[in-house]
Amino acid sequence: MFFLQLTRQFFQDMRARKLRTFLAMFGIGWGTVAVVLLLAIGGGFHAASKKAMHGMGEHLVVIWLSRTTKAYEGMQPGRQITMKSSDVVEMGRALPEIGLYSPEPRRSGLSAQYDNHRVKVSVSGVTPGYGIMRNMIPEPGGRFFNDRDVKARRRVAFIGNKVKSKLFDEGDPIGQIILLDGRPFTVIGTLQEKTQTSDYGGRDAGKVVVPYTTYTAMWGDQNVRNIVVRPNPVNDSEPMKKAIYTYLSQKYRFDPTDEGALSIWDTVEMDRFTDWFFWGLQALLGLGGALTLCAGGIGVANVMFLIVRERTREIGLRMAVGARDWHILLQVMLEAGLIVALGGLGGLSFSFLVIWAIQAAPTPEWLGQPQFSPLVSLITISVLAFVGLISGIFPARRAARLDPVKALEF
Amino acid sequence: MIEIRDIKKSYQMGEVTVEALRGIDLNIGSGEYVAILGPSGSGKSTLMQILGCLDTPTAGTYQLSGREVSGLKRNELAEIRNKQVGFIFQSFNLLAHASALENVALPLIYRGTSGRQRLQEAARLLERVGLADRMDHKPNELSGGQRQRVAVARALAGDPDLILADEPTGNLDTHSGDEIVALFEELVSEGKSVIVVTHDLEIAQRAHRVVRIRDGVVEEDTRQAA
Ligand SMILES: Nc1ncnc2c1ncn2[C@@H]1O[C@H](COP(=O)(O)OP(=O)(O)OP(=O)(O)O)[C@@H](O)[C@H]1O
Ligand SMILES: [Mg+2]
Repeated sequence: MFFLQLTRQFFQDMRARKLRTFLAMFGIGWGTVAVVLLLAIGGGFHAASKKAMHGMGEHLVVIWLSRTTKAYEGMQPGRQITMKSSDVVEMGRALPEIGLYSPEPRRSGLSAQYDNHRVKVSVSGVTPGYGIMRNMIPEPGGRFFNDRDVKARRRVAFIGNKVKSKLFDEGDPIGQIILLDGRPFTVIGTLQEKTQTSDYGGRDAGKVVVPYTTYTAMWGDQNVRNIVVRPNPVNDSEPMKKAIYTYLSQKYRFDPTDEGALSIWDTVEMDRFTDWFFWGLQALLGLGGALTLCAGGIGVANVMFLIVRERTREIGLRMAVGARDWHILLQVMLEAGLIVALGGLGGLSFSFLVIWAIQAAPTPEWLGQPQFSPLVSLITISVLAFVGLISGIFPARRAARLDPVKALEF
Repeated sequence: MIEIRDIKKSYQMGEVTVEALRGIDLNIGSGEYVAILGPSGSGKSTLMQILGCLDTPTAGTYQLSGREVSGLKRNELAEIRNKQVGFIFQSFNLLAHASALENVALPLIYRGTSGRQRLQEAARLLERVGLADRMDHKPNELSGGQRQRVAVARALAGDPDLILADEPTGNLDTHSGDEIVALFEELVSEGKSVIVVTHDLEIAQRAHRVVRIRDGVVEEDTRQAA
């Protein structure tokens, strides 16, 4: 009931001083829009960048086998380290630090043929885990190959979307037989189109992958140039890299401190850096927005000081008839809170509209779509609550500390 | 009901100390009707503010209904103002945006009375001061006399035993003033203590007791036949 009275007081003030209250609310609304939009656009940018980076793969470490650069146990530097697909699989099974693994023997410039369509492709022999690591998501209706395909050395192929469109146009390739290097393979899946900003040895759209067992049977158990692994747990690649170094240096007898022997591309580390970078960017953007909101809060505090001044006599009267200090405090704080709440609500609604409009309009892919996440709203509402509290407390304290006699004579 | 001993009040105005009250002793019983007279600046309002717990004395003791109140904290004084004292001002001091009914109900808000009860009680009090047909009027839609009657009703909200009025008729014409004084007489007959500051000798004549104040001390204290 008391609150109802206070709320009514607010609307009376608002009617009496429309422009002033409106400006105060507008300041809050503007700040809210700044916080929400900056955070939402930053979040969308982050998601878009991450997605593009993950076009090549997620939690991925690529290792190239290279030449030793240090002499070791009487052997000269410059010795090429060589592994076969089966060695890679053996290592993957032996080290618990490795979550997923795949060899990647590759032949490029092979011809792929369907009917009278023909295209040059690169063919790699990989494990089912490769599809997961490299984000090779099949179009609906198709699939990546599995352990049984590997075990049975099935002649199945997963083809890139560019390969698919060159060979099949709009037709359905699933279950069709294509010739790779003149040998028949059944297409079991095609790559869903993805944004890929980094690669090694070509974009996945132009590739064909087959089970490594099948590959070995067709093109021989050649030395692999690189292997692809995912650490376990996925977010920490350091222990895995150490374990691999130890394992390989023992097995192939090279100096475990020889950094030239293996050349490593660690996207896990890169990911972590990117996350930090965007986190910093978000914090900066959020801070910028929050400062705008604080400026709005100062506006509200000013208006509340004015209101308290104008209502000094009234406050004195309320005290004379028995209002305790906290009644007065609450009244002023609630009024400030209402201005902030209404301004914030307006700002949130407007931000919704803007985000909705941006999502409807075409935006560059690298910028992504602004995202109104629960976190963004949580942050915004917390900042609003904080600003409301702070902008109310000072005028409210001044009001609550008035001397009733002096206030009545004001 | 009221016992004050050697009450002093001084105001510091920069270098100068203004002694508004220089030692006042006064006993006022329940159901007494007291008029306070005195020239301008003699300390009448200052005394009333202390009696009404709006202000505290610089020195001296004040017992209200047996309780020493001179050393109480702000919120304790507020509670006494809320429950034991009704104050009526020369300039009415009504909330401009609130109706007569809401103005009268105001003290009850700070007592935690429920909304319905508040309005019922306020309506009863407005009827009692003869404003049953003006409940929804805003102060600027009422005459001066009507406004002061709203203020009297507000002072009665919560049924306090002590009614203090500082020049309640100062802004009113004779007829409206008479109505207010008639109300006071009714309250006294019901057993409330009423203390009125006035410059109007006719009004003072109708009180049971006249206290004259000059330069912050009681100059004369006379009882008169009712
Ligand atoms: N807040 C104050 N600060 C300084 N001096 C004050 C204050 N209030 C009152 N005084 C002084 O105290 C003295 C008594 O003032 P008070 O208002 O009690 O007189 P009063 O008898 O009510 O006069 P009036 O009949 O004009 O209302 C005066 O000299 C006045 O100037
Ligand atoms: Mg006075």
